[in-house]
Amino acid sequence: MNFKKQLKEGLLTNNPVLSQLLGMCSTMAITTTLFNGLGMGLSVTIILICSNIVISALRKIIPDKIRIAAYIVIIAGFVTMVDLLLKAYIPALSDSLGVFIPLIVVNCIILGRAEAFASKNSVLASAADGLTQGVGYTAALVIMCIIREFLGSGTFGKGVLGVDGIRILPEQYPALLVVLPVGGFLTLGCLIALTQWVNRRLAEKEREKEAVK
Amino acid sequence: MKNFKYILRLTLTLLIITAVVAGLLGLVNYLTEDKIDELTRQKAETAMQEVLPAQNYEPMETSTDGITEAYRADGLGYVVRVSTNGFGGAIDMMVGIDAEGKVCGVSIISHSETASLGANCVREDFRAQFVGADSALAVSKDGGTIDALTGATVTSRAVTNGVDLALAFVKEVG
Amino acid sequence: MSTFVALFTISLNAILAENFILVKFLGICPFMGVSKKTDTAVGMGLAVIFVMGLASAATWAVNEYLLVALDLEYMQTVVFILVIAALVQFVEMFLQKALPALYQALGIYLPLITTNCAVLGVALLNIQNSYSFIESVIYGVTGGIGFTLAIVLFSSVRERLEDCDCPKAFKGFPLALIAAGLLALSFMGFSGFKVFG
Repeated sequence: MNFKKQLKEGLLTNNPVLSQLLGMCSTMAITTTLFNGLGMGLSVTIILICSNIVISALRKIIPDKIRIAAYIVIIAGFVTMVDLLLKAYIPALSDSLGVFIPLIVVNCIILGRAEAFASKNSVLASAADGLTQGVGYTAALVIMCIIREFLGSGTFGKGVLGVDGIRILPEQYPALLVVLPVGGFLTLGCLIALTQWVNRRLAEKEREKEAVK
Repeated sequence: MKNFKYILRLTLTLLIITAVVAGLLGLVNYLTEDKIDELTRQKAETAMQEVLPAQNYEPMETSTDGITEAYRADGLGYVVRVSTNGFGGAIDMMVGIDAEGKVCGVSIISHSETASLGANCVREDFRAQFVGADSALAVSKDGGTIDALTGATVTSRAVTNGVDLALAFVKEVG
Repeated sequence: MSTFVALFTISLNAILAENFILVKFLGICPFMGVSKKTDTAVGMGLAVIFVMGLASAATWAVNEYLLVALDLEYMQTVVFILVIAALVQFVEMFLQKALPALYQALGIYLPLITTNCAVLGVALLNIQNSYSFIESVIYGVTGGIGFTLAIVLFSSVRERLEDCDCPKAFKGFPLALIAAGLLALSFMGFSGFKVFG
């Protein structure tokens, strides 16, 4: 398993949000500004790398029967640490993500990767998996944020590039609906459809290549 | 016997993992606790200075629902901290009221309202509407004078109610 | 009287205006995962109501008498998820022994509930909103009812989506998400209504 292949999987063919359809609560709930999306993405990536490393290191010690309970405790530990650190050093992010930071515990991506990858692979490969899957998650969030922020508030980079970001559409035009829950469902639906389309095209191209050979 | 050993192993593994996690969390908490407290205090202080600048704030007793703290500010007036329920949870705000019983400033300390909608309640132009008011307030939808934020009537009502609570409280004690 | 009004407001909000799935985005995974058939959706919904009510009561008590008393509030997330996991396991064992018929109906959904963010979410929100014991339990149960309402409504929509004609890329999940979006749109109608002035 090489890193390049893992990265491609994380970003596109096996993207945690767009292909595996995991962790959708946070994907839809917090993607209203770029600041939120980046912050959430990075927090999850860090937690995912840490929990993958620890779980992979302990994979031979933890008995099978209690593995889920053990994973949850480890994940919850990391989540709380990140929560406390954010509260102390990036209070603005902690304020705007609110209850969704502690809820990373039940984000299926982390438990999912622990079960599907870290519990079967070496520490190094698990760390790489955490990084690539985390980057894939962050990428999906950022795309959602950019679309929803542009259509819903008419700005780009709110919170990252100044408090109000860069205004692209005049204030009276944006469709508020897009930053509401409805917009979350619709945007994610369209993005997943796009991913399915791209993935199918890629698969078809591969097959054509094979046929030519 | 083998079964017993197995169960013991399960329990011990889980116990050790939990203990290590708890220990680490205690450490992180110890390291961040002061910083978080300091930030919370600072935030409240900045808000107090913003709504009614004064040298000293003398704490007062409160027993009203929704009013979490109240201070007498050097004889200039009062600063009241109010918490009301908005759309996404509690909205924590600081309301400054001058010696004549008029609102002289509102500052939102924390909230969990929807971004781009309810979250706009921190905006200057929305908060400025309350300045100068001295009697019961309501949003224009309910026949009052406060223009609600677009698409966030619940949030606007919550802030308005909070300012109302503070006004009523000051009227009672002053 | 006023407590009754307060409880009624909490319930109505939890079911409609602040519906856990469609407004707060909590519990999307089971919402998407188990909504293909109406029967399974009803089963999941009932299990969630049950666990959310119990979890609210248990986590409230643990928080009040253990964490706050010992000044360990920062352990909330870890302790709550453990309490919920243990609770789910316990409920499963209890049902298996005492009420096999109910276990037959709900059993397969129970393990899935541990990682349902609506359950941990309700526990954390109870604390955040500083609800009393009764309020927490009511919020938990009615939040679960809201979840059930949404998942049952959605499953009947989804049964029809199965054989509709749409672009290939939208087939399946994306289309379901868009349908859920329209359902969320209709629930927006409930937001902002006032109960008892």
